[in-house]
Amino acid sequence: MKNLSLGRYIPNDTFIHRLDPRTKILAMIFLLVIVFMEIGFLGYFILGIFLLILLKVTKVSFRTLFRLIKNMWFMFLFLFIINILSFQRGNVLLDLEFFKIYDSGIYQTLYIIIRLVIMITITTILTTSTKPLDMTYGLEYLMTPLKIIKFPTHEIAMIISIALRFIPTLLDETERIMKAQASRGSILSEGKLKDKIPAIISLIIPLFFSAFKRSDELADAMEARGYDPSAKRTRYRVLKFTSSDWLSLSLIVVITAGFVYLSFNKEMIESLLGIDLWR
Amino acid sequence: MSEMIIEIKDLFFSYEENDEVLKNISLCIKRGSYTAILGHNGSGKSTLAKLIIGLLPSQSGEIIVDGLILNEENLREIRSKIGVVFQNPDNQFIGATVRDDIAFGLENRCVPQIKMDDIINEYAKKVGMEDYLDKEPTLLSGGQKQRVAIAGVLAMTPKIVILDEATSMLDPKGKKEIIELTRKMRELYPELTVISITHDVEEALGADEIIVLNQGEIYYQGNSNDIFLQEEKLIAIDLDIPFVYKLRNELAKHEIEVSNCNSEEMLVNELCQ
Ligand SMILES: Nc1ncnc2c1ncn2[C@@H]1O[C@H](COP(=O)(O)OP(=O)(O)OP(=O)(O)O)[C@@H](O)[C@H]1O
Ligand SMILES: [Mg+2]
Repeated sequence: MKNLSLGRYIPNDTFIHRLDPRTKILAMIFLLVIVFMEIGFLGYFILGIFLLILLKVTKVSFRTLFRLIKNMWFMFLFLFIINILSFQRGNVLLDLEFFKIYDSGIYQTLYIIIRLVIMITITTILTTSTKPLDMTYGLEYLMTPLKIIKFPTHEIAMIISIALRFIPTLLDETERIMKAQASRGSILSEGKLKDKIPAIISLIIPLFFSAFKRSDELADAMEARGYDPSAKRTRYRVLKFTSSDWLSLSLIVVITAGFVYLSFNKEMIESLLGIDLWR
Repeated sequence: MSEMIIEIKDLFFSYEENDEVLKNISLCIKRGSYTAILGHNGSGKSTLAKLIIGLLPSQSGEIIVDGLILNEENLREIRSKIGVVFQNPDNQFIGATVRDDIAFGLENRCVPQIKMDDIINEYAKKVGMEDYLDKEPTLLSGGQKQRVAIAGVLAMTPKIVILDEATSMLDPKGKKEIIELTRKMRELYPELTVISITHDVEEALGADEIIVLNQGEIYYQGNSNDIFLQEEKLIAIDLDIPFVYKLRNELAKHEIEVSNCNSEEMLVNELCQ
């Protein structure tokens, strides 16, 4: 239960940790946009170096990141096979009588894999450097314009923050129920899936019961303390934009502009550098 | 201003039809008093508390809190006068940290953000949690969580505090801490009305007034000394009496008279004289 730490917040005091969550969320959106532009291998190379610097600043170990990516090798293999089978254009790399492998299939796979790895890296940087609750506040703030169309931003943010607050409590509870059921002979970690089903049910039902009871009591406690989602309330945690936030955002905007320029002027840059970018 | 802060007249309540959980409850609670509501599991104590703060709608009867009749319009105002500490320490901890939890009530009250830190520090200190302000609930003991709950309630400066079995899920040490804190709280705020709901008779010791509920009805209401001297009456509904009174009743049988003492200490002193 305790090894859920992949991609989770890692307390630290770095430049990125100190940034306002809104800055980080906006920066992530910009970076994700870049990932989906056609910037060629050169573009991904530059983006990769930028992300490596961010990783270094955030003090995320490569091991953490690698473990996340490692779990996806099967998907990568799957993509590779699909692409090789479906891309039947370009130069033939290998001719196997019954079917040919083309370079475009390989390139396509590489692009997808690079994009996925970059996306994972970006979100990892965000989630390891931002407390989930701060992220919720940031999202709530960024979604305020949606209030015009009656989108319940505050309620959703409250739901998420309470869910976050209760995850450890419910994990503890799961563990306790599992132990209680194990002492009655219902063991989850043994046997085939078919044999596990009764054990899973004997875990889930009490867990649900207690979760409903909790939510009832929680609602009472919140109401008793004067909570009313529709009423005006003040905020204890206020997000503060500092000069480093403005600086970071400007930097990201400049970088994004650079990539936009790159993606629209590939030929010119290619001829300038004398290399084939779009491969 | 009436002398009574809570007046309940002819209150009935049922969750399901024809199954009355509270029957014909009429009671008064004095301003600044310490009242204990005793009763068995399922006797309707929590239901009564929920009715008083308007978490449940009463079906008939009247509840008056601090001169205001409980209804839709007065609900917000009445709630602002009452703080409740519930039984389960986990299920009333709303904030991500101790700090945020105390702030939750202040946010609902629209306290300006710049004032919050001072208030939080002040009340955390009062309950002895000032060193834990940035701790998450999973790192706190049950007793500590209840102390945070008390701080959160006091920070809203209520006139009435209801403790609904606030100690029943705690270990003996936590229990002692909370009982001690309740005593301290009453010393700090002499005007505060405290209602302690419990099924542990020891906790009712020292209450100005005791209300005993049995199967949704008021079984006894009055001075704590009077009821604890009538052992049979409480035993009849499966409640015990505090140890001190047990001893006093035993002594009385052997014709040893001791005067009014309602704590073990007082009794020891008296006997040693
Ligand atoms: N939400 C509900 N729906 C239906 N019945 C309920 C509900 N809550 C409580 N009851 C019933 O009402 C009765 C009184 O419950 P209440 O919780 O007020 O008792 P209590 O004196 O607080 O007991 P405890 O010491 O267990 O806290 C019980 O018989 C209970 O089963
Ligand atoms: Mg109860």
